[in-house]
Amino acid sequence: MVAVVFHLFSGGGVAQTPQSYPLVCRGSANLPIGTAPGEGNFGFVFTRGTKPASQGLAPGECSWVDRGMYPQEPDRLSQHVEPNSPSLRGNLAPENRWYEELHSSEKYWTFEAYNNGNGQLIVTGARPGRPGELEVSPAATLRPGTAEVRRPDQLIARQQTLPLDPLTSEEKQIAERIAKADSHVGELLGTGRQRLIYVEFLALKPDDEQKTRETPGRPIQIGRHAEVLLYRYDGDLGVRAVIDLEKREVKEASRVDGDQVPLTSEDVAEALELALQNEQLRTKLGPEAQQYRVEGERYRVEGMRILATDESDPCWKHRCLDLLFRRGQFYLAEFPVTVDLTARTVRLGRRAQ
Amino acid sequence: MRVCRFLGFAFVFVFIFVAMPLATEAQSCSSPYFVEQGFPVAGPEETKWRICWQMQHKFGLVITSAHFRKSPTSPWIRVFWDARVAEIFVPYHDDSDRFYDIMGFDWNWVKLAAADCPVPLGGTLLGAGPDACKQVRDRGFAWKKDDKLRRGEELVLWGAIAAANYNYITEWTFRDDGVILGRVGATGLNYPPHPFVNHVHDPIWRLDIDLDGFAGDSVHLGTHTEFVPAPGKATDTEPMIPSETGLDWDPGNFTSLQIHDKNLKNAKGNPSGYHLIPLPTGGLSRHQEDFTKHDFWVTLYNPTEIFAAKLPSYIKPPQSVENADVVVWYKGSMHHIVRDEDGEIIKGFWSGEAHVMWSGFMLKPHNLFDRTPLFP
Repeated sequence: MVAVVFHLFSGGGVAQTPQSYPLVCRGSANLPIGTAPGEGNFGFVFTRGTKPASQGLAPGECSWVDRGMYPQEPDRLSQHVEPNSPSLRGNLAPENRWYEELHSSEKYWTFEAYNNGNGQLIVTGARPGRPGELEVSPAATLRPGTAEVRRPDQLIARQQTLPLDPLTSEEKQIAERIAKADSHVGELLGTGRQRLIYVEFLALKPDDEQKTRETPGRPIQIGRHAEVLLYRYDGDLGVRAVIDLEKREVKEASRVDGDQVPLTSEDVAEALELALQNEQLRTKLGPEAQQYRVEGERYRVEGMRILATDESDPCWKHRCLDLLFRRGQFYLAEFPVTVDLTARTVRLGRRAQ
Repeated sequence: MRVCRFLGFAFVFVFIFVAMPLATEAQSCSSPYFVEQGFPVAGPEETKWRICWQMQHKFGLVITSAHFRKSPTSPWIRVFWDARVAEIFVPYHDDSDRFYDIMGFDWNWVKLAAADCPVPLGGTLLGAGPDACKQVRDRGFAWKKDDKLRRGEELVLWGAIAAANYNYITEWTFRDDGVILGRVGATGLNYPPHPFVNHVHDPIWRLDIDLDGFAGDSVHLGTHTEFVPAPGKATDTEPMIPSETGLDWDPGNFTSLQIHDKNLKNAKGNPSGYHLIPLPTGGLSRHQEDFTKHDFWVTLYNPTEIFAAKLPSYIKPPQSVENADVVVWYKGSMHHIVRDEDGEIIKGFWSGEAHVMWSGFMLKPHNLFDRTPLFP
């Protein structure tokens, strides 16, 4: 536990109070808090939270509501107590009750605080509250560039993305745009039918191993990368592009075998559309045939990828799948429907072995 | 005023010399993808895990970082850079289907509910879905000697892939003694087009183990041999594996992969490492596909090499894996002999659920601690 309580004596008031921001702190059983009669300040040292308080705090941690704390920011909090305050006589005023309550890791307090530029965060207001219960007034000031208020009564903070966090939806969109705009990726994809398969997080090891070591105040430094996988039907090929999201460029792009390009729900939807054009299948499915959907609740269809192992199989080097029809929790048994998305054909019954 | 200055200096002293050395390393992922668990859950910390996880396309639950601290004053040791189930291969005995349930599909993962992860059993749902369950629980005896004993605890992270008629449960267990367990469970409905055909589920794990950084790791083949050097005697050997290769598990030889870093030693000066020990359920299968012809594989790290089905191509030509950034792979097996308990066809629909079958492995610390852990 790094938090150590201290009692500081400050000088007089400041002529102009800087803007305060909401800082949330979580208590800890290890906080050695005691009253300090006659002293002018209560305070403690805390562990800097590296993520917004709304994302959770460890015992003894404090963090801004809208973002994690920077390593260079103070990790000392100081609240001035007037000499005649009952708090100094052991009868804590409401705004000072954190002094007792932060003994418990189940207690949270929110402080309005500003950086005095001298290694301390100065408290201008305090109220009890957990991060999940925060009610930030419309007037609450958020740190510029890191957060946004979408509803006047509720703070929705933009999370500070850490190196091993999943890609955000914004990052995925950027990665896809960069990949599709890249001329080399375009050459590999050709001009025929193609499909985006997915955009996924990628943790690439840097050349400098020291960058992969977490140290106090600094997470690993590996940048942000995305893998964009696309499929081209012509030749049954995939195109894999690695995107450097910080440099906004394609780091590398290459073709991959079609068997390494997984089936997606879009593939299954397309297969279902093709399959339902088959009259024999519609007859078998009955009047509910048109109600089957990929994500359907009662009438659901699922796809099983076929990777042909024999050149004589019509699915050899084609994008093929078996469709499974499901009604509620039950599957239509012994009812294989094979769809060849490359040849755009549908076959009922067992495939040739 | 002197008192004030004294207290001010005292604070600076306490802060610099007491607080600073205990400062926590920054985390590299945000909540809920960051999981930190100290043991014992109640009482002063003895050991601790820090883990990052994600749900990823195809693979489901992926461990993107795992560090272990063997005591509150010890440095963190990275164990995993990345750990994932890299394939679940499902060949049917009649050769009707041979599914690559990881490489071939981009399944959704199962959205979990409170019943999946009961709070009274130490469960916490994680992720937006929620996608994963964290469970902190008692694991039985860590050790026992007569009237003395120590119960152990563990952190379990699991998620499930919705693989059409089946669910695959990917489970990672991080124990208070530094042990890691990886398991895959298969459960669900038998494949509707041929629900009575026996088959095998082969999960294959890709374990990017980086002890004390990613360079300088080596893998040794632990082998036990009876009758050597003479009848009635036995010997254990651990030759270093020089280059990329596939290797076989022999239950009679207690075959294991032993991963070490050239610079990582415990206080006794012994090389610290992890032993990869299969925990098969019944056996380990072989099929016509080359990647199923070995139980272990050792490869040099390459971020593009993530599909187990491509392993034979990854080791051509074999590169040196001595004091290198190595990745180890292990193939388990679940032999599913269809039984009436799996289900039945009622009015043209399959009804029933095959209960979960498991296959997995253990990563066991070896000379990582300086003495018996969890011991007075």
